[in-house]
Amino acid sequence: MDNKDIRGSKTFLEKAMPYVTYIGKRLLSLIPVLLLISLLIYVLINLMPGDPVMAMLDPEKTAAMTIEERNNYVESMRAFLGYDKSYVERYFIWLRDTFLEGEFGYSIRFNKPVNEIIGAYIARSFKVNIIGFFFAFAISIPVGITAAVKKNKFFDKMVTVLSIIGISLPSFFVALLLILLFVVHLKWLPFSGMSDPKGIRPEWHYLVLPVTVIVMTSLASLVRYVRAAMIDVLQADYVRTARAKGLAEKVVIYRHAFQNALIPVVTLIGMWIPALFGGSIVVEKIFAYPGMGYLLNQAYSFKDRAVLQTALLFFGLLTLLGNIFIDIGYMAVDPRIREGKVK
Amino acid sequence: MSETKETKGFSKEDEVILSPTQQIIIKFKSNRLAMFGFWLFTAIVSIVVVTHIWTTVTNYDFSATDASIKNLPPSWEHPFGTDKYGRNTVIRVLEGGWISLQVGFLSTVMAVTIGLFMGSIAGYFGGKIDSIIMRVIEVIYSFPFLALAFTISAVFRDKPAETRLFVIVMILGLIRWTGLARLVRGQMLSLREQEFILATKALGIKRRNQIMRHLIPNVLAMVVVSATLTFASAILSESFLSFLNLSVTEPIPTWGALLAKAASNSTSLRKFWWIWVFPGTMLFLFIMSINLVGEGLREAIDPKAQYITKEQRKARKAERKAEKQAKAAKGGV
Repeated sequence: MDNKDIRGSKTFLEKAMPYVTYIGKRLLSLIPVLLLISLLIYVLINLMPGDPVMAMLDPEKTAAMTIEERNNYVESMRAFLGYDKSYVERYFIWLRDTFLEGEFGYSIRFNKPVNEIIGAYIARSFKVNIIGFFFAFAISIPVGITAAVKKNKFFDKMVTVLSIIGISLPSFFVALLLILLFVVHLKWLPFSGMSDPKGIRPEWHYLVLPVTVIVMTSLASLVRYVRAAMIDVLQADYVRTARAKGLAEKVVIYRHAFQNALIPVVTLIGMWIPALFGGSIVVEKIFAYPGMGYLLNQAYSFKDRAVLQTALLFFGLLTLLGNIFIDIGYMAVDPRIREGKVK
Repeated sequence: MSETKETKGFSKEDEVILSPTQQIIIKFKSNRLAMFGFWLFTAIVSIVVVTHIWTTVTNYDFSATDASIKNLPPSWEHPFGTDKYGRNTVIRVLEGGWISLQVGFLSTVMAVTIGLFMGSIAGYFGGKIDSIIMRVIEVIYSFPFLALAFTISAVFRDKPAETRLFVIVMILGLIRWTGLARLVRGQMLSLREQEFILATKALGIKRRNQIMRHLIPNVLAMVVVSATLTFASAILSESFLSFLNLSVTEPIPTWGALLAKAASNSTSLRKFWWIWVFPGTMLFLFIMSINLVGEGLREAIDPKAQYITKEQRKARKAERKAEKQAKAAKGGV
C-alpha cells in the first residue's frame, strides 16, 4: 500500500519519535502511582512491631556500658538511622534519599548501606530466573502451538491434562519432591546454598533445582496461554483466506498465524518482568538460594526496614515498568494499535 | 448419531428448547475431566467438613502429644503416620483443609463482590469514575502480592489465630478483585451499547436495576469461571503464607504449615516423608479439582465449544465396537 511507501521514506528519527513521546508520557504517568505505592509501603513497614534501633544493638558491646553510656549510644544510633525524626518527616526524607539521591538507607541486618548489598541479590535472582524463563519459553511455544494445531486430538488432550496438573502444583511442594528425589535418593545434586565451601561442585549444580522448579511451575500456564492464543488466531478470517489462497499448511501456521499468536505472548513477558528480577520468596527459601526473595525473607525476620522498603518499592516499580513494556510491545508487534496510539 | 446430536439426548417428541443454563449443565456433565474434578472436589470438601465437625464435637486436642509413638511410618493404625510429637498425621491433614476452605471461600466471596461492583460501575458509568477505578486497580495490581501479604501478616504476627485468619481473608479479598473487575468492566463497556440497554433506558428503568437486573446477569457466567480460579489461587496463597509461617500457627494445622515443617529441617524432609507428602498431595489434588471444574465451566459457557454427551459417547463406542466385530467377522470368514 502507499502507506508503506510513506513510512519507508521517513528517517529513523522520524519513525522513532512517536515511540519516544509515548514512552515519555507513560513514564511521567508513573510518578503519581509510584508515590502512592511508596506511601503504602512506608505505612505498612512502619506498622511492623519492634524498635529497629534496639534490634541493631550489639549485646556484647552494650553489656559493658553504664546506663548513661548506653542511652547516649542508643541516641546516637537513633540519629544515625534517622529515627529521631517524626514519622511524616522520615517519609519525605526517605523519598528524597531514594528518588533524588539514590540512597536506599542503612541495613541493620548487614550493618551496611542497602546500596552496597542489594545489587548482588538482584543479579543472582536474575540469573536463575532468566535461565528458567528461557527454558520455559523454549518448551512452551512449540508445545502450545502444536496443541492448538492438533486441537482435540490426543496430543492436545494430553497437553491440556498435564497443564492443569502443572498449574495446580504448589511450587514449594514441587521443590520438596525434587529434593527428595534428586538430593536424598539419587544424591546427584547438593541440597541448597549457592556455592560449595569445599569447592568440589561447580556452581551450576546449585542452579539446577531452582531452575527446574521455575520451569515446571511456569511452563503449564505458558503452554495454556500460547495454546489459547493460537486457537484464537487459527479461527480468524485471514487464516481462512490464507488457506483459501492455497498456501501450504506450514506456511499458514508459521507465517500467518504464529506471528499474530505471539501478540498475547508479549503480555506474558511483561508480566514476568517483576518475577525476573524479584525472584521467588518460597523457592529461594527452600533452596537457601541468596536472591531477592531470600533477602526479603531475611529482612522480615530481622525487621530490616530499609531493605524491606527498598525491595518492595523495587517490586512495585518493576510491575509498573512491566505494564509499560506490555503496551510498547503491543505497539511494536500490532500495527493496528500502533497507528491508533501513536497518532 | 446425527439424530442424537440435534436433540441433545431428548427424544424428538419432546421438542424441548434448552435454556442456556440447561445447556451449560449438559455440557459440563458431558465433560469427563470436569466431572472427575467435580467429584474429587466434592469428596475432599465433604471429608474435610466431616473431620472438622468430628473434631469439634469430640473436642479433639491437636496439641496432645504421645512420645511413645513419635515419627511412626504409615500403618493401619496411623494411615498417614505420626509426627515428632506422636500426633496422628491423618487427622491433622484432614483438619488442615478446613483453614484452606475457609480462607478460600471467604476471600473469593469478597473478591467477587468487590470486583463485580467496581467493574460494573466503571464499565457502566465510564468517564471519570472509570478512570479513577482503573487507576486504583493499577496501584493494587502493581503491588507484589506475596510481598504485601507478607508485610501485613508480619504486622499482625503477634495477634491471635482468629485475627490473623481474618486479616489473611481481608488481604486476599482486597487484592484479588482487580482481575475480575477488569473483565467485568470490559464486558460492561460493550454490553451497555447494546439495544436491550437502550430499551431499559427508554422504559425508564432505574440505573441500579439496569445494572443489577439486566447487565450483571449477562456477565455472571464469566464471573463464575473467574471465581473458581480466584478460589484456587486464594487457597494456594494461603498455603504459601502458612508455609512461610505467617498464617494460622500451631497447634491448628494447615496444609502449608505441615509442608513447612519438612522444609525447616532436612531430617524430617529426608526420613519422615509421610509428614509432608500427604498434606502436599491433598493440597495439590484440591487445587487441581478446582481448576478442572473451572476449566469445565469455561468450556461449558462457551457457546461455540463442541461437546459430546455421554449418550453420544456410548453410541460411538458401540458403533466402533460393532465395526470391529463386523471386521473381525469378515476376517474370520
